[in-house]
Amino acid sequence: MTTSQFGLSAAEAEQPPVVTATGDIDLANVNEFQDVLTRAADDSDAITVDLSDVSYCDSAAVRALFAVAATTKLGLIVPATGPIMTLLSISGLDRVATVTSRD
Amino acid sequence: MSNGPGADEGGPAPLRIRLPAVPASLAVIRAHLRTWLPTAAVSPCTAADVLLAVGEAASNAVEHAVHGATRNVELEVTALATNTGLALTVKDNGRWHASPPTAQGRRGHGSRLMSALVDQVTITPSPQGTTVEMRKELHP
Repeated sequence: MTTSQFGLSAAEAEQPPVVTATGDIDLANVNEFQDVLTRAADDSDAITVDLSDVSYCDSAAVRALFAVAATTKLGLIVPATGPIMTLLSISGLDRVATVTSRD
Repeated sequence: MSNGPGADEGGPAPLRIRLPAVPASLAVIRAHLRTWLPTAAVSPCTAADVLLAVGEAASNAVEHAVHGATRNVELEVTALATNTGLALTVKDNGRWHASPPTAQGRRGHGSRLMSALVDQVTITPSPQGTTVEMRKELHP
């Protein structure tokens, strides 16, 4: 539950900034996640959020991602297995973000 | 027949956790479930679905039950191996406030998510709190 769970790498060449999240995201640390997303989106009209090493996330994370998707083009990288795809499709986040799955 | 999930009568002891309904409790609940679910012969894939369904219910309880509560709200999570699968409950003793439309939509989405992850979801609000009961069938 530390800020090191959420990394931000700056935009490079044609690539948008990337927010990399690891571990579990829930109500206890979603504000930190939200802060990093907001910081990334402040400087760019597109961001990529890499969730491929996230071991747990729920609607709290989805709300944070929806908030940032309202103002920024959002790309998501998600694990190939696990319930994150279910979470994205039930919430409709997969319709406002470009989702790529990674093994 | 010897090793099939749920085949033996001596399944794992039921899990029962009682914690304050605060965000920090959510990780504790997941840690207990991550240890308990494999003892009930639940596959990693199913365990992840159950973890999210229970996590979502517990998260809802923390958000909604505590909101405006005048007493300490507690959260109780139970998990039980049945003959055919798992019975899970997430119970809080907070007040179930009538919600503004936005929050209602959010909760609707939470229960749709739970329904997608487990086989049966029953949400019972009462003045004493809210109980979410879930069933997950296991297919050996």
